[in-house]
Formats: sequence, structure tokens, C-alpha cells
Amino acid sequence: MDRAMVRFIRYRLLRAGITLLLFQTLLFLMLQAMPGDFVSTLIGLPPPLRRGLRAVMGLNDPLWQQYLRWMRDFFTGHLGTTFRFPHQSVGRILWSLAPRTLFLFLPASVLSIGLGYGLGRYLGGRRRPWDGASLTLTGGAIVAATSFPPWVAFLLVQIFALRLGWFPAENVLRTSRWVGVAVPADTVILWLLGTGALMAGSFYLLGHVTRWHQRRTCLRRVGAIALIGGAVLAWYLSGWGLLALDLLWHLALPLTTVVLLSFGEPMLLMRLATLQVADEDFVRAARAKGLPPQVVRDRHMARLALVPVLARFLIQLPFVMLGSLVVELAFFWKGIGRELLIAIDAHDVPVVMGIFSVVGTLMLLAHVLLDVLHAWLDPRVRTAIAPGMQR
Amino acid sequence: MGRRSGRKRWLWLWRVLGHPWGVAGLLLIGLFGLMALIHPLLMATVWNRAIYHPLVGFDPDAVPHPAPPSWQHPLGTDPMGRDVLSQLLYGARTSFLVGTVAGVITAILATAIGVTAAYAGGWADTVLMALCDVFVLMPPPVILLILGLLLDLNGLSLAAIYGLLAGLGSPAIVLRAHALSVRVRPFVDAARVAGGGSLHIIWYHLLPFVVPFSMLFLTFAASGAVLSEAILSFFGRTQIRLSWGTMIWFTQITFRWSPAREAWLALLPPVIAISLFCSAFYMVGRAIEETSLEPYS
Repeated sequence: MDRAMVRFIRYRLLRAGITLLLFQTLLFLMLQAMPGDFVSTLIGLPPPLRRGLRAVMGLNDPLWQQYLRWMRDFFTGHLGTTFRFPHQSVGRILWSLAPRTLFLFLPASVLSIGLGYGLGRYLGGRRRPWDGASLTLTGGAIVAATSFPPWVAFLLVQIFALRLGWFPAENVLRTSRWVGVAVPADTVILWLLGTGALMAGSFYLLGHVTRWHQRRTCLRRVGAIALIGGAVLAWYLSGWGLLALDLLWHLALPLTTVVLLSFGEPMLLMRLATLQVADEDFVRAARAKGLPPQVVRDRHMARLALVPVLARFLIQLPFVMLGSLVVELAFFWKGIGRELLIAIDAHDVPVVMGIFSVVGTLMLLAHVLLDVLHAWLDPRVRTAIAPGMQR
Repeated sequence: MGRRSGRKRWLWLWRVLGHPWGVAGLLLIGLFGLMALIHPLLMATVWNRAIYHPLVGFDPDAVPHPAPPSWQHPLGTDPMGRDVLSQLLYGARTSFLVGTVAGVITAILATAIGVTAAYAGGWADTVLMALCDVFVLMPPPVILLILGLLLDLNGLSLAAIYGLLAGLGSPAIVLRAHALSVRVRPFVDAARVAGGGSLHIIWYHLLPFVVPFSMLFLTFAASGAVLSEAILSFFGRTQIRLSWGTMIWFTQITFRWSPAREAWLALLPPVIAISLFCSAFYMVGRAIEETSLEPYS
């Protein structure tokens, strides 16, 4: 790692820190400007009690004291104390809600980017005269049909939950199945996520190990069946199988909604990127070498086109979490997005600040990571942005 | 700068018309514009105000409401007995207002900040970009949810706030990058050597390159603002009296208790209208992005 790189990272981190500070100050001022406060939302309290509550919560302190207190709480990771429940830190609330939000959005992100990648690759690889018009129609139809989030959720609930009754319409789990179960749902969710990550890793390893083998298709199929069977068997033997099934059953509709809402963008980007790569010399060389078109498409074009798609998706990931607040609300999914909306309505300033700050920090980290990766791959970027250099 | 180059600067506009998505999107936008324009005319000539008024109209002959489509009400009536077609046409006006105002504010703000930062450089650049970095972290729909408690959001104020939040965020950063990439090209130096002032260079050399990208962000902000308006209205967070979002909100509230076929019919038109409106702007944006990435070529 050379000196320019170190200086670039230091500069980028410093800028991210300043941004975070400004962001929090602005957010704090905006929330303070809201009319009324938490105590004024409680109905039927006698005035002395109101005064007492305000004093206990520190709402009477001057603004700068409240601001400094918030800053201290943020940097110690405690994130302040919520107004609605006694002695409960915002950090604890967020930790307890994080598994459910991740349970919805990690698989949804992976699925939507996978779907967008596959479809975009397919569309980008096809170039026949009539494709233009049909693509316009299908692309426009997909964008149109999935552009209004509450509507997609509403439609899925109406058809698959209320008419057909195949899936539950709301909530994360069926309460009656979990009565008397010692293990908390969040633990099962975390184990499920772990299983998913393990499976993804094993599939990658399987593909990598059998890469040069003569009968790799057969080997991969056998391996895949063994892996899936093993996972199912392990869950069955653990005794939590039915509980996990219940969670997955409830996941089906919200997951479908988020995937439907977010796979269009990667798909169109991927198609454009594949088309742009199609005229590069190395693609022509691969084709001239006599490789089948499918291999050229998958091995040579798609790999290069994936980079911008992944970059855009990484940047949008925290946005996806906040933006699909609508999905959480529509399905009564008790996650962070729904908590944010409830907190806004209740004037629970610490919770709102906490959620925004955590999401903002994650997003800044994603940006820094992306910039550093970019600079690492392209030396021109380092010298162009780092201070003290001629632009 | 003669007349020829002046005309050449706007060539990209024609190229958008050569792209199927651009044509489709512009046709759709034109259709919605026609819808917004035709409503006052219909109200003044054909439609009886007492029956067809989008807010207080009621048809006593068509009970029970919501009524299915008929010759009197081509799209049926909503649960309160108001004509859906009339509401749909009236809602086009709100959506047009919201979309246009938000889009124009976003484009102007982002272009001004991006070009200023790129041209001035130094401290102005640093300060402006630090500001933009902050606003990138503020997704407009979520901030609007908070501000919905603070202000009485009507169509205009919602659009203005959306434009402000969106224009200060990532569009400004992207436009600055594009403006910067032109600023370092040799012809800018040549223009300066030839005696061109700052305003001349910005107007004739930076802006023609940046404006297609501003238009791109204009279309994206327009559809984003209309969607935000619909989502906020859907959750009952705005003071807008009638828009497509409030139509859906109102119908689906009554829908919970009477999931009748007629209610589905009252729900579909605004949903289809919102989807088509947003995708029209999206299509035009895509067409701009795919046809005019390089206006000097």
C-alpha cells in the first residue's frame, strides 16, 4: 500500500466524519423544530405531572445541552433513552429489531440483484431486430407495474392471502405455533440467516472446486442435492424445523414484494452495461476464438458488466432498507422501518435520531468502502482526489 | 460562437425522439397533459357540476356506490358517489404540478451547485460538496414523513421540499463530476486564452454538456416526487384535497369493510395512472441517458 493510498483513505475518512457530524446537527435541529414534544402527545395528564416528566426527560434543558447529550450518547454507542419505555436504550431496541429487518432485506437484496443480473445478462446478449420494440414494451410494463410500492403489497395480499389463503397476510410469525417454545424467534431467524450464508459459500466452493473436472455438471448437481438435503435434515433434527418453516412461510409475501420492487433497476443497468461491453476487443476476440455465444456472454461480458451494477446496489442498500418502510408497514412486519414511523408519530426523538444516525453511518461506510476500492483498482483516482494534488 | 454551434447545442433533444422509449414516454406525458387540460373544459360544458364535481359531486341515480362503469360514469363511482373519471382527470393536474415543480427545482439547483463547484474549485467546491454529502443521507420521502407533522403539506410545498432535498443530494455531485470532466478539456483553456470570461465559458462550454444530465435528473425527480406524494397521501400524511394518491387512500379504507368488485374498479384507474405517469418520466430519462451521453460527438 503506497503513500498516496494511505493519504487518500485518511482524507476520505475525515470527510465522512465531518459529513456525519453535519448530518446529525441538521437532523437534530429539524426534529427540534417539530411542533410539540413527546409529553404533549400524552392525553389527560395533569400539568404538574407534565412538568415533572419534561424535567426527568431533560426536555426543559437548553438546546445545546440536549445536543451535547445526544452526541455523547451517539459516540458511546448507547444512542440515548427512548421516551416511550422506561430505561430502555435506543441501541438495545435497534439490536432487538435488526434480525427481523435483516431477515427480510438480506435475502431480498440477494434475490433481486441475482434476478436483475440474470435477466439483464439475457436481454443484453440478445440483439435481433424485433428485440427493440418487445424490450421497450416489457421493460416499460415491468417498471410501470412495480413502481408504486403500496399497490404491489396490496395486490399480493388481496390475491394470495385473502382470496387464495396460501400465505399469511401479516406479521412475522403465527403466535399460536410459538406458544410454549423456549427459543426466541430472533435466534431462529439468525440461525436461518447463518444457514443461508453457509449454503451460498458452499455453493461457491462447490463450483470452484469442480471447475476443471470432466463431469462437473453431474458432480455439481449431486453436490447441490446433498447440500440442500443436508441443510433440511439438520433443521429437521434440530427440532426447530417447523418453527423455521413458519417464519419462512410468513416471509414469502413481503419478500416477493421487495424483490418485485427492486429487481428492475439492476436488470436495466445490467442490460445497458452488457451492451456497452459487447463491442470491446476482448469480446470480439473471444467470439473469434470460436467460443459458443453463451460462454462469451456469461464468462466474458457479464463479468465486466457486473461491477457498476454492484456498485449502484451497494450504495442503495441502506436506502432500500429505509425505503421499504412501506413494505414493513403494509405487512405489519415488526422491523426498523415500522419502528421509525411509530417513533415519528409519537415524537420519540431519540429513536428517530438513532435510526437515522445508524443508517446514515452505514451508508457513509459503504460510500467510503466503494471509493477506496475504486482508488485501489484505479491509481488515477487516488492522485486526483487526495488533497495537495493538482486537480 | 455563431448560430451553427448554437443550434448544435440542442441536438440531443432530437436524438431523444429517435429512441423508442423517449417517444413512448413523451406521448404518455402529452396524454396526461391533455387529461389535465380537458377537465375544466368538460366541467364547463358537458358535465353537471352537482354530479361530476371531483370533490363534492354525487349522483343520486347511481346508488348503491361504488357503482360499476356505465354510460353516465365511464369509470364508475367511488364509495362516496363521486365520478372516478372526473377525479382522475382532476388528479392529473395535481400530479403534473407536483412532478414539474419538483423536477424543475431539482434540475436548476443541482445544475447551479454542480457547475459552480466544478468551475470555482477550491473552498467553494469543498463547502458545496460537504453540503451535498449531507443531503445524500436524507432520502426525500422519509424526511417528508417527518416534515408532514411539522407543516401542512400541500402539493406545492411537498414538491418544493422534494426538489430542495433531491437537488442538493446526489444529482449535484454527479453533475459536478460531469462539469469537471469538461472543465479540464483543452477547448476550455483555448476559450479562456481567446478572451472568454467565466460566464461565457460556463454558458457556452459547461452548460451544453451538463444540461442533458440535468434533464435526466429532472425526469427522475419528477417521477420520484409524484410517487412520494402518492405514498404520503396513501398513508394519509398530506393535506392535498384530491390527487391519485388520496383517491387510492380513500377507496382502500372503505375497501377493507366491503371488498366488492366495484371497489376494485374504483381502485384500478388511479393506480394505473400513477404507474404510467411515473414510468413515462422514467422512460424519457432512460432515453436521454442512452442517447445523449456524449453531446459533442
